Amino acid sequence: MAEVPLTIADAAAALRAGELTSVALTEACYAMADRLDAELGTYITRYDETALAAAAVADEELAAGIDKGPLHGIPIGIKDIIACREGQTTANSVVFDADWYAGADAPVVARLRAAGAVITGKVTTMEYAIGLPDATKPYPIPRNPWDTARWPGGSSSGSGSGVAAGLFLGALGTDTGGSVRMPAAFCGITGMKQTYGLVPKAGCLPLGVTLDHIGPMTRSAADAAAMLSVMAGFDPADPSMPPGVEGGDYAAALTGDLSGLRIGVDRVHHLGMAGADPDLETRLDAAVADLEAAGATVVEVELPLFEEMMTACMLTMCVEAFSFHQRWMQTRWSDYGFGMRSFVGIGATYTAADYAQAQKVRRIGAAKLAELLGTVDLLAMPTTAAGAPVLDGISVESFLGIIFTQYWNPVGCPTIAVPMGLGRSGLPLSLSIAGKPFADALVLRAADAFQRRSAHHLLTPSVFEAVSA
Amino acid sequence: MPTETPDTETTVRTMFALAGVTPPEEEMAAFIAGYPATRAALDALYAVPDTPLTDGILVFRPAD
Repeated sequence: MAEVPLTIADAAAALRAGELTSVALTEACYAMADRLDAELGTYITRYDETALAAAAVADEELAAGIDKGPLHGIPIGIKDIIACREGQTTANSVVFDADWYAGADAPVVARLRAAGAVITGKVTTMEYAIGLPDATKPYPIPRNPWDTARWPGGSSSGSGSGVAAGLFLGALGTDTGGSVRMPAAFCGITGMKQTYGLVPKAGCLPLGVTLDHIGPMTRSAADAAAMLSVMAGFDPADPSMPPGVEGGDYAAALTGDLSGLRIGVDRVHHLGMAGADPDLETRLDAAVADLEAAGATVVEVELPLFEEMMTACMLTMCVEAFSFHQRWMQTRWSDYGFGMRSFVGIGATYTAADYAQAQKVRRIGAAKLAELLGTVDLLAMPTTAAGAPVLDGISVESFLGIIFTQYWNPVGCPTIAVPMGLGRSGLPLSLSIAGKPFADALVLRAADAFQRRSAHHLLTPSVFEAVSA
Repeated sequence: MPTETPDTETTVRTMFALAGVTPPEEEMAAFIAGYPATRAALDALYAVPDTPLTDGILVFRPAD
């Protein structure tokens, strides 16, 4: 019997080589969940019956020579703010009509399913994609597979922990200020926030509508490319998408070669802060050396309006979220979790002028960033200053103080987080690579080239043990 | 016309009252305590120099 491959690419190859079946792969992933999920708190709802039926169909199709591509027969988890036809969407909240979008797939889920993906279930999110775990609410406390005393990050907590622990090979997360990239960083996996408007968000509950993205979370950049190739492209149900916007074959862009590319590294805003892992700069230097080894020319840069864009992101997110939740917060404040209401409630304290000014600053920042991206092809920086925080006593301040992800949502640029080795704490650290709007293929190419020269993305936590399929 | 800037507590309580949202006192105290730092970060947004690039939200592109 073959071992369960770590990556979608390896699993796809094994499926086609007859070394593995989708049913065996899916069963092995569920066996991992049986063993670990009581502690990890990854799943909200499992779809064992329908997933195994879909896996059986995938096996029959592949045996008959019907090949739907690299996701055919691959187990995928879905963050529980995105609708799946099998069941309810809880948003990890009691303040929600869980029958919203009932019986239907969000377009992005439908695309994954049409590509043969096996949807294994719905996984934990912070409440409505914001806040912190709350033991007073009827949802699992998500824990980090690298150290279960720590948070896997959020809000796409289950997506991160599930991929890291082998409960599925890929997942959908959502990212409004870093909710794909932060858990990817804390869990030692790859997570991408592609260009704003490239992937349809219909069937996904909003947090900050002008900042929200649905993104792939996988072990490798190549796997993220495979998922994004399926996910991207116009859907009329999402008014935030540019009419006619198209995706592409992102895997075809993965040449491993960065010759001729200039990559700007921002150390000014990302190193030397309180609470940073002592090995952060060493890990960044090693990652930069790998990018240079792939052919890139690396130069030092400074991201424009860094603090202002971080503020603009938080303001916009809180105001847009408060706008969505205000009517329920008027009557059901305490039904929301403490972390969620503490975050979103701040939106009540901003003025209309503050919101308008934040949108102006977003435009100014995007223009200045475009000027910088006229001098370099890509930008690179740490995703976070340190590894995952301890759950006991966790606060908004304790994680906002160590993450840098918010900069990229107000400008909508594609940004990917990839593991860059373990810090002094023994926890994963992460490199972010960003590019111009719609330079998603180039961002993926750089991340893949980095991973061809490093094995950080293949490191697994001690809870992970290969399960025979 | 007001002649004084309202204090932080009055500001935060008024904003929540206008929104029709009433957090319990302990949480209201936390919002009040956090407001000065939040306000300072917001004020920094108004210090960003304006540029001609800040076009309006409606950008129409006539058909070719």
